[in-house]
Parts: sequence; structure tokens; C-alpha cells
Amino acid sequence: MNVRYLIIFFPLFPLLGISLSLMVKYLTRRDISTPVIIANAILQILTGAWLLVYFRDYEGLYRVVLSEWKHAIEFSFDQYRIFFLLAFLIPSFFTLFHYRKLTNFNIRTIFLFYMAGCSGLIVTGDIFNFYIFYEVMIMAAYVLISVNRQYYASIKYMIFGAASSAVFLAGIILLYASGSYFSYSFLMNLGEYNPANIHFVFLLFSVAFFIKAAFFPVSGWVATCHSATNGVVSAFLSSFTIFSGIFGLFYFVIIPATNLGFENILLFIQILSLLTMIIPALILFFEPDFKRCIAGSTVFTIGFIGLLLSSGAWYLGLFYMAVHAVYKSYLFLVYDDLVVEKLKIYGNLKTIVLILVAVGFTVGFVPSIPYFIKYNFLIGQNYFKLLNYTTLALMLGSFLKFNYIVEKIRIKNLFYIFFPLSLAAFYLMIPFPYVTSGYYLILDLMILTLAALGARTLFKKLDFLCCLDTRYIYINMNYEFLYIVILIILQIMVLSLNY
Amino acid sequence: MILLIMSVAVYGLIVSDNLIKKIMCLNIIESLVILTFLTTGYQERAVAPIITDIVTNYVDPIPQALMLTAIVIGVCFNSLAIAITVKVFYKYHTIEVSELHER
Repeated sequence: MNVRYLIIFFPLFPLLGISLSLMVKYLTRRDISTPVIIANAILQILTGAWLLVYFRDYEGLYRVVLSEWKHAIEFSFDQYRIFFLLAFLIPSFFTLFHYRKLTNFNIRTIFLFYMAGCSGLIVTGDIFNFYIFYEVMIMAAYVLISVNRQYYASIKYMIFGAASSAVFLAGIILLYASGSYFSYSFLMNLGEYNPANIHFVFLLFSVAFFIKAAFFPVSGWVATCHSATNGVVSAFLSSFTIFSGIFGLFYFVIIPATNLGFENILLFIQILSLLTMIIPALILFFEPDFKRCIAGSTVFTIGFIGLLLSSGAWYLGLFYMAVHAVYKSYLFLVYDDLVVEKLKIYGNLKTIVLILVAVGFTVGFVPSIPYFIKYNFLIGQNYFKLLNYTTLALMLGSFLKFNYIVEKIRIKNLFYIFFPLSLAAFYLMIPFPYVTSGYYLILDLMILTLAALGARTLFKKLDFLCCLDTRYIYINMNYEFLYIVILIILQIMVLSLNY
Repeated sequence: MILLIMSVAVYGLIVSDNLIKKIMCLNIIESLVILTFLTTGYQERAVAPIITDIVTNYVDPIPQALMLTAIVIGVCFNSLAIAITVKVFYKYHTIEVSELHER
């Protein structure tokens, strides 16, 4: 099949699914939404796999313009978008057998809208359609967050979403007023336009995507909103929706700013990314709720990916995003099978072992893939070593303060113990001397021992710092809006340094 | 003028404790953004962009076409936000942000 049609049909599958299930529902009173969702997921996985194979070696931007008019709707695809596609396909695959968690027809239909928004976001080729697909996705997400009657989480997400969209729309307007069109290809030639306007466009786009991607100090809503709903929706929110902010930041700020040599903007993103790694890790250490810990750890990952992308390690950052989708989807989906009582987590052997493996990936502990990504980035970045070990200790402590208790041991489940052991053996035996050194391994193991022994005690002794974020940092929504204004002022100061 | 009104709306967004007021402030910001975009297509003595032989001077139709979509999105946001605010009130018996945060 022609790849052009695959790109166009990718966001159309869920929309066709919605039409079909609504038609059947109102004509025959039969609910076919569950098989439609599963069929849609399978079709999108197959289409996505085709796109992955086709674009793995493709260089440049593949454009699909729907008419000859210069403002025509445009779809596009390139190598970078393979990773965003993976971040969408991985939770789609994981959730294939969990759709029973979407309990009724209305929720399943809205979920299909959500899927349409997500898939449109990946293949769209112009900024205004990016805004439209983002709004389709996020409107559905607002409703899906409120399915567990967590209405405050939903309204909080709505208000931050609307604020970021208004800023993004203002950026689009200024871009158009500067003489540019909306196609991604025009973003590569921004140097031709008025530099003062372009600086302001970068300011608006970056603030919009800092909010959407939950960079510090606007990351307070993540733990509340992502932990409020069921596993399927949380998996998508944490694996893809929040990373669509990174997607926008990468395409609309980092790539053009790198091309134009706007070092100040990249430096500002780096500093913000560093803060986004440290402070949420500190907040997580004092977080008593396990699901909020899982949700909040996404912010740490976002900080690290922001750091990689703004430092020029684009493929490393995007690869980390795709890997993150695997373990975060798993953590959210398995959470519903656990029994959580304060700091005690009960589950069967298989679940607990796999949770500990996923936690190892989340914190970037040896021998997980995020560890090797970090290690690759560490070479030649001395200032980052201290930061890495501080955040590693905090993140390990925030997950190891919980007691993981195995309820039932079944002989067949002992197989799952061999999975992490074989993974460790694979990394340690074959390429070990070339990828990491014994010094770093010993340091990591020491931090693990300290975190395992001391985290719970420290957490209990410092219980007055419990819920650090909601008590002291993001005291309420008003403070978070104040932080956004401070962020804008700081960025104006940074941009003014270019003159 | 737009900047002045926008500053008032942003101030309202930061200091108002009531969810409905916050939604109203967001509406004002969004409307101002839309108005700004429409003014980029404005031309003195220009007519609607329905092209005939005698019409030569017409306004830029792109902002108008795009802002229609933005207005629809704004309406969706409003209806959903107000519906969820009603649900918030039924569940928590308040729509004050500081009180909601404590629960």
C-alpha cells in the first residue's frame, strides 16, 4: 500500500470506529464499542509498524499535501517521529487486553476520540492542525480523567490545558503575522523573518510546551491528574499525552532554535530540565501514595529527556521516551492488580518482581536501558555526575520506602525471577567493559543499599515533609499560575540577552 | 488595549479562588487571542473575501477560517469545564480552589 494513504488513514481509523459503533448502537441497540476499540488498536499497530519499517532509513521530511493551495492541510512524517509513534503504539499494545477497564459505551467512545487525537498529532504536518489534534486528544482526556469521579483532578487538568493552549495559539498567530505559514517545513526557515518576532514566537511556544510537558515549576498537576483515572487511560497519559508537550518543544522550539543558533533558549531549557529532574525527585521521596509516585516519576523522565534534547543528544532523548512508554504503561496497568495499604504493597510473585524491574527502569538503575542512556550522556559531562547520583538516590528512596510483600508464591511464577536475572547477566557478561565501568557499578550498588536500608526510616522521621508538593510548593492552583508568570518573565530576560 | 485586558485576565487567573471565575478569565484570554488573530487579517476599506470580478481589495480569509475552529474549541472547553465544575460542586460542596486543595 502507498505510504501516503497509510499516513492519512492513521488518524482516520478511530474516527471511522466511532461512526461505526454509534451507528450500530442507535440502529440496532447493540454495543460493539469494545471490539471496535480492539480492532482499531490492531489496525493502528499494523499501520504504525509499516510506517516504522518504511521510515527507519528515510532522511528528511516526507510531506503529504492534500491540495495544491499553499495553506492546504498537510500531513508529514520523518525519522524523529518514529519514536513518538512508538510511544503511542507501545501503550496501545499493552492495553489490548485491558479494555474491560473502560466500563461503558460512552467512555469507550470518548476513548476512541482520544486515540484519534493522539494519532493525528503524530502525523500532522502543520502547526494549526497540531493545535486541533491536541485539543481533540486533551478534551477526551479531561472526560476520561473524571471517570473515577475525580472531578477536581479533571478541572485542574482542564485549566492548565486551556492556559497552555491559549499561549500556543498566541504563538501561532505571531508566527503567521511574521509572514510564515503553518507547515513544519517553514519552521526550518524562520531565520528569514523578523528576529524580534521570532524570539517572541519561541517564548510563547516554549512556555506553552513547558506547561503541556509539565516542566518544573508547572509540574504540580501531573501526579494529581495522571493518578486519578484507571490504568488504561493513565498508561496513555503518562506514555504519550505528556510527551506530546516534548514533541511540540522539540519540533517548534529546539530544532528551529538549534538551526538559528539561539543558544540562550537551549541553555534556558537545559536549566529548567535540570530543575525538573531534581525537585520532582525530592517531592517523590516524601510522597506516601504509590500511584502518585508512579505518575510523578514521569516528570523526572521529562526533565532528563528535555536535558538530552536541548544538549543536542536528540536520538538518545527520543529513544529514552520510547523506552519510558514500555515500563510506565506496565506500571500503571499492573497497579490495578495490587493491594496497597499505606506503605505496604501486596501482590503475587510475578507482579512484584516485574514491578521492581519496572522501578529499576524508572530510576535508571543498572542494568536497565535508561542507565546506559544516562551513562552515555555522562561521558564528558562532569557537572551531571553529581546530579545523576543525587536524583538516583532520591528516586530509589522514593520507591524503596514501600514494603513490597509477596502474597502467594506459585511454582510456575518462579520463572519471573529469572527474567531480571537473565537481563542482568546479559548486560554484565557481554558488552560490560565497553558500556560501563566497575567504578560506576559499585557506586550505583552503594546507593541502592543506602536507599533500601535508610529510605523508609528517613521518610518516617521526616513525616512533617509528607506531601511536600501539595503542602509547601504547589500550595494551590493559584501558586502554579504565579509560577507560570515568573517563568515567562525569566524567559523574556533570557531572550533579551540575545540583543 | 488587548494587552491591558489580557493583564487583568491573567491577574484574575492568579488571584481568584473561584473555579467559575478562573474559567471566565481563561475565556477572556482566549477571546483576546482570537481577536488579535482576526486583526492581523484586517485591511482598511477591504471587503469580505468572496472573490468576483469587481472585488479586488479583500481581507485575509486565513485568520477568519482558522479562528472559527478555535472558537468551536473554546465552546467545547467552556461547556465541559462548566459541567465538570457542577460535578465538583456536587461532590465537594465548594468550588473554591483553596478549599478543594485541602480535601
